[in-house]
Order: sequence, then structure tokens, then C-alpha cells
Amino acid sequence: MDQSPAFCSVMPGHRLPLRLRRLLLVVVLLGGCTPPLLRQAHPAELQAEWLTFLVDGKTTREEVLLRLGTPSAHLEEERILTYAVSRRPSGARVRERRYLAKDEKVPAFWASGMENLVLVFTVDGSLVRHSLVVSE
Amino acid sequence: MRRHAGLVLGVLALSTQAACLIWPFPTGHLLAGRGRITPQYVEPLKVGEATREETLLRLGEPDEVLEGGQVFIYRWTEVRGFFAAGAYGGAVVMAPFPGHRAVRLEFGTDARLIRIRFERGAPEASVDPGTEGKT
Repeated sequence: MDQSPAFCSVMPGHRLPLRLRRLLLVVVLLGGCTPPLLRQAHPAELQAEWLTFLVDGKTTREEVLLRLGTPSAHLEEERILTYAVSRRPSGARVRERRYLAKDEKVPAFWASGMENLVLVFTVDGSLVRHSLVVSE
Repeated sequence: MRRHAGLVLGVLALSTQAACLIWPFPTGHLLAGRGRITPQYVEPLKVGEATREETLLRLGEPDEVLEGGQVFIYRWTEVRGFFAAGAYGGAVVMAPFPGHRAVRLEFGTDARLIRIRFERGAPEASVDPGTEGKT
């Protein structure tokens, strides 16, 4: 009688041994445990209602500030403005801010489903490029 | 030796009575930050070529801006596992093991990327006077 262990009993055309199948299941399950990743928004996401007023070469910084309010950050001598928002299940966007949680040393965002709008302006204040970084 | 074995068995028996569970695997939850940044995602940002502007357009606003804009740091905290304990008919205590992660990008005087480094570990308190424009 053949006493070979389960791992050695793979034959062409046969199913994988039970132990190997269990191991693969664990690997697949653990592999699925990935936190939200940053990615660039798809073109359709850039056409969302709250962003339709943004037209490169046309929209001004003044219009942006009037529509979206105070930016969450401004960089490069205010040539680049960013807005941090989170998506609600209803589809609404809510402005988010970093805050310092207990036992933490650096302020951080604590909301889920974050989006970060980045707007680049010329020195005279007209929009030249923009992007939306999405967490998913 | 036998006494140690007995102690270990006792602790194990107690831990089962208290319904103790240590799950040393990532659960896929994000505790803080906007999300994980993978090496694949930053790949288009080439050292010596990418500018600060391109970096911002790709990654969004940094969590820390140091040395007058020469260094951007992006941080996030993932759940790397958890400890849970509960008693019969009582409360359940659950504490995640946080995994602090960061990407540090350094720029030269010409505003071009000179280094990208992935880091681990809890951040040190740092509010650099060079931090620009954080509201």
C-alpha cells in the first residue's frame, strides 16, 4: 500500500492536496487584506459635478476659492492649492482636516474614502493643471 | 522545567477562559492617513526628473513639509493585527497593532526629486518651522 504523504501525492490531472489548498486559501485571504491604496482619479471621476467648473487655462484661483473655500494646504508660494475631502455613502463630499489624536505625535487624516484635489495655477492665477488623488 | 511548563499551560488555560485572541495578520484597515502608497504608484516619479509639482499632482498634499519644502513626507497607519480579550458575559477589549508607514521624498535646489525612501515606525513629533502653508 502506498504510504506517501499528502504533499507528494500530486499526480497530473489530479486535484491539489488538501493541505496545499488550505495554504492557498489562507494566502488568498491574507492577500485580500490590503488597506485603501492611493490612485489617480479616472476621467469620469474628474467630471463629477463638484469639479465640472474646473477648466485648465480658464478657471481662476478666485473662482476656486469662492466655490471651494479655504484650501487644506497651499504650497509653492500659493501656486498650488489642495483640498482634502471624504466621500460619504450618499455621494456627498465633506471637507476633512488633519487632527492630532491621543498618543499620536503627528496630525493625520482619520476619515475613510479620502480624495485630494490638487490645483496648479500660473503666477497670474489661472489654473494650468489639476488632479484628483483617490484612496480606494 | 516541569514548573515552567505548568506555568505556560496555566497561562494558556486562563487565556482561553478569558477568550483571548491575538491575530498577527493585517486586516486591511486603515487607521490614519489617506491610504497606502505602493512602490508601483510612485514609479512614474523618476529621481532626477520629477518635480515637486508633479509629485504633488501624483500623491496629493503631503502630511509633512520639512526643510522649507525640500522634503515631503506622506504617512499612513495600517492595522497589522489585533489583540482581543473578552470574558463570559462581560466586556470585550480589542486593540489593533498599528503599523506606521511613510514615504519620504527629498528634492534638490532645482525642485527635482533626488531621493524616495519608504520608512516604517512611529513618527517623531516634528513641526518644522519650514512647514509651508498648512492650515
